[in-house]
Amino acid sequence: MTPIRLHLNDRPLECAAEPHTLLVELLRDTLGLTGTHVGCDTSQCGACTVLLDGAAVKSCTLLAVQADGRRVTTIEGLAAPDAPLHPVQEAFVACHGLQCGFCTPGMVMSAVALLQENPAPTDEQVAAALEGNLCRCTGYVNIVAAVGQAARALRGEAR
Amino acid sequence: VSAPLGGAVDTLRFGSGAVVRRVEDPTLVRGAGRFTDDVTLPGQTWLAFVRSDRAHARIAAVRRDDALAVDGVLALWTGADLVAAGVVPLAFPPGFRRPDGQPASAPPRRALAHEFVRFVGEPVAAVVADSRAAAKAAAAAVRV
Repeated sequence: MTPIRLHLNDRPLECAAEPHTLLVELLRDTLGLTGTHVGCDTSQCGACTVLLDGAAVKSCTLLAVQADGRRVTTIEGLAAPDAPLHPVQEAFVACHGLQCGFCTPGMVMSAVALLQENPAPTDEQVAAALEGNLCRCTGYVNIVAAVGQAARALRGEAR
Repeated sequence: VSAPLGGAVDTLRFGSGAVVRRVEDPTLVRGAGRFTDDVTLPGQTWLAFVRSDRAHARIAAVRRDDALAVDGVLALWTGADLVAAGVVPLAFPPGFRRPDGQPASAPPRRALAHEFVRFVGEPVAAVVADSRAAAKAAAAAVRV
């Protein structure tokens, strides 16, 4: 086991993992944060997307040891269980941007990363930013609408 | 907690056109849903498949020693094992006929490939282990 120090969801954390352990396995199996999903295991679907030092990454494609000393944000870190939803989460609910909800944590994390970089993306830019996230339910239209609404909410504009 | 979608017009609607919020969404957007993969039961075991990397090939031999030596492996089956154990092919949907009335050809479809593989990705062997890592490692150690 290799010791790993993370700054996970705004809290320092010390844990350990085998050298072959993936970041998503550390999050889900060791730390019990099952909001980050494994949809494909082949880096295609994006359900496992988390933020690494603020950038959206696929946690099934990173070794846990590669996250040592870095800042990791998962879907559980966006809003505490008893706190109001993050504006991106709120917009996904309001715009019906989810159905089964399996891809949603990854979609939300990718959207958060996009809006940090570009607070006012066009629909085309949203679609491009989410090209690494697959959804088998919605057809994406409401997801793009949700990200647009979240962008307006984060900019402080009326819905 | 959450504001309804839209302004006064939406909130005044009743019946047709009214906003209906799904009760499950706040849980799902928080990543607090409970999917099958999120559940780990006491004594749970993991399954991993050895899959064909050939489009069409004869299975000459399956070497399992290295796989069985992996710590935590509980079982390993090949197509030949299943045939020997009397496992029959998956049932073919009955009633299909050719245009001339003859019954459609019904090749045996087996859970694990037997003697031949017929597509890339066809399961050749199955490994059960007490951890996901052990199952994957053992599957990788099977030599076909």
